[in-house]
Amino acid sequence: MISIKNLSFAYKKKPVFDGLNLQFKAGHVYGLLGKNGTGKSSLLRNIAGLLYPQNGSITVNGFTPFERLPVFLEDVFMVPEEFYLPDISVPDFIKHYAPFYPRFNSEKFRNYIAVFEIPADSTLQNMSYGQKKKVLISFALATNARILLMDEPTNGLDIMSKSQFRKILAEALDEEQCIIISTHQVKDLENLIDRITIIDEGKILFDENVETITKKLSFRFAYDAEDVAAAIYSESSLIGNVIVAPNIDGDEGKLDLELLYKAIITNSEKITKLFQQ
Amino acid sequence: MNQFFSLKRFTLLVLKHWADNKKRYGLSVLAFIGLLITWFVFTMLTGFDNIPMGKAVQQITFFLSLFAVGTFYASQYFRDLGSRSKGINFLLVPASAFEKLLCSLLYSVVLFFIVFTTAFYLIDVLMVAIANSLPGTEKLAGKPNVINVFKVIILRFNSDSTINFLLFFFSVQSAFLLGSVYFEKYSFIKTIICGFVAGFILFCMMYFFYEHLLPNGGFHKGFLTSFRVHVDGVNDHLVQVPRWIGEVFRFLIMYGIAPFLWIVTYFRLKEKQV
Repeated sequence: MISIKNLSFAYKKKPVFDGLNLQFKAGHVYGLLGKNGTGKSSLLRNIAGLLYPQNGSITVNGFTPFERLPVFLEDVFMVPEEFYLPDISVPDFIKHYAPFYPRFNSEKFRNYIAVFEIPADSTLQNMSYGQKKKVLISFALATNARILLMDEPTNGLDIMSKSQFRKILAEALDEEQCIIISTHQVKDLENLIDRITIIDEGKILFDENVETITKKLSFRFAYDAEDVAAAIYSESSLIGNVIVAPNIDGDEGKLDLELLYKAIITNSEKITKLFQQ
Repeated sequence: MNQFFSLKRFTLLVLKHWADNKKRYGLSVLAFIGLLITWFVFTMLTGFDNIPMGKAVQQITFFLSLFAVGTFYASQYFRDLGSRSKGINFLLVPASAFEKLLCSLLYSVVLFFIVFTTAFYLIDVLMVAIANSLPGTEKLAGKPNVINVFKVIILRFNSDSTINFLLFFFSVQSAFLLGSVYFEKYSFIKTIICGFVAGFILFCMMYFFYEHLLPNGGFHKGFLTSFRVHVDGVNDHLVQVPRWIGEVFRFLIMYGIAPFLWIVTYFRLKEKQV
């Protein structure tokens, strides 16, 4: 669905990627994690055709994104972190934007904004940032575009809206779609993401399925000093130490994305070795 | 469906642009009408011309405001590309770069000119009627009349000057449209500066060409197509390029600049990154 081969990209003199290789397949929700400025948003914009790579290639649904052919754009929707919506009513927005997307489903859109508790006839400009974002997310999902790119989608959403977002996204995903979510709010999306990709200094530091991760790693409390010493990563809390350790029992536990991220960033060598076994 | 141009997509794009901007456009037209009325009233009160709403006032008002408003509007058309959020919204709309350019030309060239001229005449006719009803107007040498902006003589030595002037306007306006894609911020000011720099460089090149490369003499009956080489006043000779080259040159200057700038705008738009 999305194939990135040997991608190099730089902003003037600041290199972002150098020889990046990645594959994104249909039917998955990918979580794109990384420090600030590591190129998560740039990768999404390269996939959407908003940026042109200096070297290497990107193929999305068989198209070269930067050609920005209408048939390609009909099947890719991006929810950027900084977004713009015109100063019109929601019905007018649907009337004038939806016809560009041949698979747009108006009923789905109405359902999504109802779940988000957005008045159907309100004007976009009178809405708060969070409400506008909810309209944009609803629109993105209703387009039925096969590629959905979301850059920090839960930023600006209140607690209730975050759980509504998770519910809607889980319902909306179908086998033909590929959703890539770049985020720092890992807790918001923990149960949605089924593959984690971590970018660091323009390289892929980690790229694994959630199933494989929970088979190989366990995230738990440890009260024994030996357990803590043997852990890949540990941090103290009020009720003991929380650790990331190799999963010896083989029982699949619950994934803690935040801990996983910290473990990879601080001890990537050990993690890489463990996953190569 | 054709990926370069589809009438259906183009129509959707035109309607979308209208929906996004109708409030701004409506308010801009009202502001223009307000300014025009204020200006005409000012000229009548201050006796700017010999007669109220005289020909000169109408002419100057039409052409100056056409250039000022037209170039400013063109320089604002692609301003969305200067903002990351608006730029993403613009570039990811499923339509081709050609359709987006064509939509910009429809609004900034065709519809702008129609709406501008209509708004001007609406106020002009009204103000001329008011001027004619003012006490004492019948005693003046000339009676205020509504001018035909397509037939007024701007340059007294050239009968086609109005048409050439309008063609010149479309070329200048196209340069501002290109500027709005090229410059992310202050495109209006930057395009003016670039225009002056380009004009100055062209002038210097012409001057160098005329003074240092061409023999002693001067252009004769046709700028750049006919040159009279001065020898002694009796044996002077005339160097002329074939008539058809002169015609092609004239045609390109008149009708070629704007389409050339549109083509450059198209490629710039196609390569735009956000």
